[in-house]
Amino acid sequence: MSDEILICRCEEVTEQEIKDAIKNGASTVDGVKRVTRAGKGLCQGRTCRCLVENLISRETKTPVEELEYPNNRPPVRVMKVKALAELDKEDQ
Amino acid sequence: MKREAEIVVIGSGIMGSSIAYNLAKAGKEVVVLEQNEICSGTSSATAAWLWPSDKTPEHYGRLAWHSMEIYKNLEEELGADFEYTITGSLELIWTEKQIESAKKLIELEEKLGHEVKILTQDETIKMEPVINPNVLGAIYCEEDGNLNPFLLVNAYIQAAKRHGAEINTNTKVQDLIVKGNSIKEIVTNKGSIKPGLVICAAGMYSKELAKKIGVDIPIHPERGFCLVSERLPKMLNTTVCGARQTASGNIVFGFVKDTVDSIDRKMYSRGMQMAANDIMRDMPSLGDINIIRSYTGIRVIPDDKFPILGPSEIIDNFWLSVTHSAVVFNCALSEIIVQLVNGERDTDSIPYYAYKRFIK
Repeated sequence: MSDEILICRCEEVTEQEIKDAIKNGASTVDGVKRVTRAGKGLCQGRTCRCLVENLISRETKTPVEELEYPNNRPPVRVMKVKALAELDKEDQ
Repeated sequence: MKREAEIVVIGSGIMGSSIAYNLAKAGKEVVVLEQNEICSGTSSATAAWLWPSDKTPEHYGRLAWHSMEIYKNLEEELGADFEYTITGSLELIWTEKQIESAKKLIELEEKLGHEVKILTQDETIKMEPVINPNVLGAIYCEEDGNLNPFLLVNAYIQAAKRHGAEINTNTKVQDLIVKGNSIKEIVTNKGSIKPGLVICAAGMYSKELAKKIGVDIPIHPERGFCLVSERLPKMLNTTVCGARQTASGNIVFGFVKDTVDSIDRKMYSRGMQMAANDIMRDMPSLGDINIIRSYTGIRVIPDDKFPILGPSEIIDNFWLSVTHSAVVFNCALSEIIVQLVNGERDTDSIPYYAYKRFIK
C-alpha cells in the first residue's frame, strides 16, 4: 500500500502517519488513535479499526488476536445534546 | 528493558512524562514504566483547560502562574505542536454568591500580577454569542487557554527519548521489593529492574501501589464526564468552564463532578445526561449538535487538594508526584522534582506539597 493512502477517512489520517506513530511506540488501536486522530471521527473507528489493527500487527509482528481491543463508549450512534439531556425521561 | 537505572518513573501520563523529560534533560538516567500506552489514564480524559487564574490560595496560584510561564516556550523546546492556545477563559455567573467570591479572586490575582475581570451579561454574550442570554455575567481571564493532552504527553515522551530516557509501555509494576528501607527491585510483567530512585506518577493507581510498601497516599477519586461533539465550524472563542472547542473543531463538554469510591471509568447514562443538562443550561442553542462520544475520567484528589510531591520520607528512595490538574501544574512540579533530585532544595521548601505534611 502506498504510504499516502488514507486509512482513517473521517479524520484523513494516512498510512504513513500511523506507521510513524507505531514506530514512536504506539502499540494498540487506542494508542494510535490518541496521537494520530485515527478513529476520532464521526464513525468512531468503525471503518478504520480493522485497518489500523492490521497495520499494528504487521509493524509490531503481533497477531491481531493479541492486540488490545479499543475502548468502546456510548453513544453507539451520534445523538443530539438535547436527546441526551432527556435520557431519564425515557425511563419514566 | 534495562535491568537497573538511576531513576525509575512509574506512569506516563502528563506528570510522569513531564518528569521523565525534565530529568533526562538534566542528564539523569531515566526509565519509565507504563502499564498501558502513554497518556491512557486520567490524562487521557482531561478536558485540558489551562486555567491558572482560579487557583487559590496564593501559594497555589503562584505555582500555577509559574507553570504557565514555562509553557510559553515549551512547544519550541520540545520541538512539537500540542495545540497550546491562549483563548481567555470564562466562568459563567449564575448567582450573586459567585460574584462575591469572584471579587476575592480578583484581589488575589491582582496581587499575583494578573487580571481577572467580571463581565456583564452583555459583555459575556458579546464574547461568546452561544451562551445562555440569561446568564448574570462571567469571570474572565485573558491569559487562560487549553491544549491537546495526548500531543503534550507524546511531545514529552519523544523528547525524553531523545535525551536518552527508556520508555517501557505495556509494562505493569507487580511488586516493589523493599530491603533495608529502600526499594531494591521493581518487579514487572516484563522482568525486574533495580532502581536508584523511584518516582510514583501513577495517578489513580498510586494509592494501591504505595500500599504495597506501607506508604499511605491520602487521595480520593472524583469522576468527571465528558461529551465530545462532531467537528463544527468555530463557534467558541474562549475556554468556557464546561466547554471548549479543540483545534480540530470538536467541542469537548464537561465539568460534571461525581464523587465515587472506585476508580471505575464505566460510563453511566446518568453521567451523560448530567453533562448534557449542563450544556442545555449554559449554551441552549447547542441542543441540536451531535455528540459522537462520551468518556469518563477519574480526577485524583489529594485529601487536602494540593499536590503530593517529592520524597515520601518513609521509604528512602520512594518519591511521589500525585495530583489533579497536572495540565496546569506539571511544568512547575517537574521543575521542583529536578531541583529536589539535584539537592538544590529540600522538602522544607515545599511545606504545602511535601508528603511529610501528612505525617503527624
